[in-house]
Amino acid sequence: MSLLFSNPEIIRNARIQLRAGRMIAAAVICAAVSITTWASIVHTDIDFSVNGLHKAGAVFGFVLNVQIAVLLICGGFYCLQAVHREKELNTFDFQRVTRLTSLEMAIGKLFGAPILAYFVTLCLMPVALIGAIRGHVPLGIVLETYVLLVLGSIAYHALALLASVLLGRGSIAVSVLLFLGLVGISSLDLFDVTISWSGPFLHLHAVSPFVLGDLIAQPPSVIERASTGLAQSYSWTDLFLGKAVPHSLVLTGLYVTFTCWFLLAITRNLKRDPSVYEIYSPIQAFLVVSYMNLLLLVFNPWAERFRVSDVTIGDKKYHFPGASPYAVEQGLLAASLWLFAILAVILLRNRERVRRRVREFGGRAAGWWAAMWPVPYLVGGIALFGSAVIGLISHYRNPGYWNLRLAIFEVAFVATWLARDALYFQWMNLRRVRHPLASAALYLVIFYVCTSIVFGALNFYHNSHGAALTAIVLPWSAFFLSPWTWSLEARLFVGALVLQCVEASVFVWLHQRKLREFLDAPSTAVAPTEEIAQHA
Amino acid sequence: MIRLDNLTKQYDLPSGKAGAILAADRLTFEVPDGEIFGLVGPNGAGKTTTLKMICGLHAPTAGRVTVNGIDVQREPEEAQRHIGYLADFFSLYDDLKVWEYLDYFAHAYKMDEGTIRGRVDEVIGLMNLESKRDQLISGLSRGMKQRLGIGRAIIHDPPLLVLDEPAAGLDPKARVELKALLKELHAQGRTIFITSHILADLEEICTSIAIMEKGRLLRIGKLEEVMREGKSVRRFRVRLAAAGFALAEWLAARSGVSEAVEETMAVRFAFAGDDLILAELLREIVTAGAPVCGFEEVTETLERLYSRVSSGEVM
Repeated sequence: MSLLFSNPEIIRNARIQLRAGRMIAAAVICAAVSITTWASIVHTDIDFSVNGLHKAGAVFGFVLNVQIAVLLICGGFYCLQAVHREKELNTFDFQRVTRLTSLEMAIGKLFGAPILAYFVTLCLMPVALIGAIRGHVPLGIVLETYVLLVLGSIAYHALALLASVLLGRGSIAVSVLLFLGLVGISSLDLFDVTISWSGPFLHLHAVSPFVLGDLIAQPPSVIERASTGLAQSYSWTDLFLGKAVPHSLVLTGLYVTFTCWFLLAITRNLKRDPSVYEIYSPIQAFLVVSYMNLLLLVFNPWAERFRVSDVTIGDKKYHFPGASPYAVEQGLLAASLWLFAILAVILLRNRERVRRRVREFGGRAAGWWAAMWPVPYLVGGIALFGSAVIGLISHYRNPGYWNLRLAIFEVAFVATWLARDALYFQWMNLRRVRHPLASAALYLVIFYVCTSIVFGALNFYHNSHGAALTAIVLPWSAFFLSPWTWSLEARLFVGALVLQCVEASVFVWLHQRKLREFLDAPSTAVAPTEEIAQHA
Repeated sequence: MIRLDNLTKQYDLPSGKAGAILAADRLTFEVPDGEIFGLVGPNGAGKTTTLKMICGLHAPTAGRVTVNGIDVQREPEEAQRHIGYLADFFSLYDDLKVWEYLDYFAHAYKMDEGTIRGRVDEVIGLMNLESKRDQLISGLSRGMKQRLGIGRAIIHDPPLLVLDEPAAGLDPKARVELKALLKELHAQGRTIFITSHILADLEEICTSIAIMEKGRLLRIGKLEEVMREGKSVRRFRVRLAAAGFALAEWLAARSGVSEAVEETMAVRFAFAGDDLILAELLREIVTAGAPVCGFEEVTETLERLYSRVSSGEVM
């Protein structure tokens, strides 16, 4: 069966959403919007040429933004409801028992649920194209813009669909807010996020499709050069492995790869029993997070950040020594920490999963190695990422003070911190409460806030000795570790690391005790019914 | 047709309580081809969970289910070819027309493109929905929606139908129609696995039955075998045309007779013995002068059997 053209799920959505009456209504509204937009922009006295667009070009820019909003946001809302609503109506089980594969169902919902949004976008195309042609926007840019719009929307829709699969009943409002928040955050230009005077954190522009409106509103000279080649088409380029790459090319790559990751998660879970949902297998989750970490590394402007430069402003000369290797390492580890936290959440086992493992593997599922879960993946991942960061810093850094031991200590400390908290979450996740993860997160936040206040009141943060002590329970102290503090209190900090390991071991022990409870559960040893079965 | 091997499903008890619930406790049985198999039990017995595991909707904690020799967990898409499923509480796509709904599922079950149109019309005819073919589902009555739901379940012509409380919420007329429809589907050679709270309905249509409670099977077998099981005596009722003859006392003195109870113009008693001895007893009653105007065996109803089995009266 063709995934797209004869997919029953797409046809079903089209039959429901694109009935003649609804299509006519949508087309009439779009026509009214088009005429109003054209009239109000073309016949206004405002001079749009300062933005590099003629009046007709401005119509194209405006309509494009409307199309982005309709396709990305409205389409996203449809996708958020695609599975969630079916579960609430008890129709989803009937789809699960059909012979449609997970991929066919996923593709059907991905393109079927937002089909009305696609139709509205199409209805707005005539005015957008007339605007583009009369505004002298090069055809290549128009084509590229719409390709990116479709690819970007598909990526966001896939994420919304994944959320729809995973979220429980009654959580649609939260998921809508989260989706809007994500669109907002991804519309921020990371190029502008500067963590120090040493330059931007990542050489990557905004990644949401809303960036397309900005891409076409460039100075005429840039637009006119569009035919000279892709890399020269835009003034917006990202730095990929130190080389300037057109942002549109980067967007294409990101949209396609993230769509694939999201689709993988959807197809893994769509036809499963919700009680055994598992977003990714451990290896897949590890690869997803490694991929995101790789993006941090490849879009980092390594050479630029360490470049020593002398700038003359007026009659004064300023010397910029480049970024501190420690600041770069700590910045990347902090960013990566969030990604590995996502990995930890994906890997956490719930009660049903542990129960099935105990049934399958017996005592082995409640042993010490099982109690270490999910530490091996987290520590392995951070070790890999940390080694790459240390290696790249060693390659690009300026001659100057660089203590390899301190750099390795930072990586080890972050790994232990994450392992400790992940083990805590894993232990808490096996407790029989309604929202085990939410309550675990709440307790952890309360613990961190209270201890921060106590240590602050004791003035521990302002001396090296105190900082080392706080690192035992508040691991972010390690992020403020300077070479000077390290040289004074190296032994104390190593001691803090060892104590972190002890704390992690306590959670391993607690986790193992919890696993033993599953093994010894009385309900697993009830009288067999074989003699009854013989009657059958 | 269906085989369950040590099928187990375990849930947590509500938070704050220790232990776990076994919704299905190592269920092992087989349902042969061509049966109408009824699963009976109180709410929370694990019937729906068992049904959903058979359809591949719930993953068992342990054990496995095979349908026509195909492992439902390992080859779900292949197994679905053999299963038609109807849930207890369900909705249909109200914005679709009746034929569009069936057409969607026919495609979803990957039926041969050339046969779909004919099959949709055939099912619409079988479900008596011809006049509603081009109407939106939102305009159908509850009974029609139930019929359409069954139509969806059989659209791909599966040899096995799994129905969870199909008569729930139906009026008496719709229930009668449903029973007739199920009998017709059975006559076409389908195996039907059904749960219901309306035991009289099950008794009327089922060929085999299982009684389930707290995840365990209490009884299973052919309907008549299960009904007979646990009964060492038969019960009879003698209707009298006039009062005046102390039949209960007279019967109590006879060997093989017990539990003689007087009712209004009738006497009910338990009897242990074969039919020849019974015939002799009846002759003696008449010759003793009792004004007998009726004599009948009081048959066990499924409802009574269920209450006796679940209360532990019969083990």
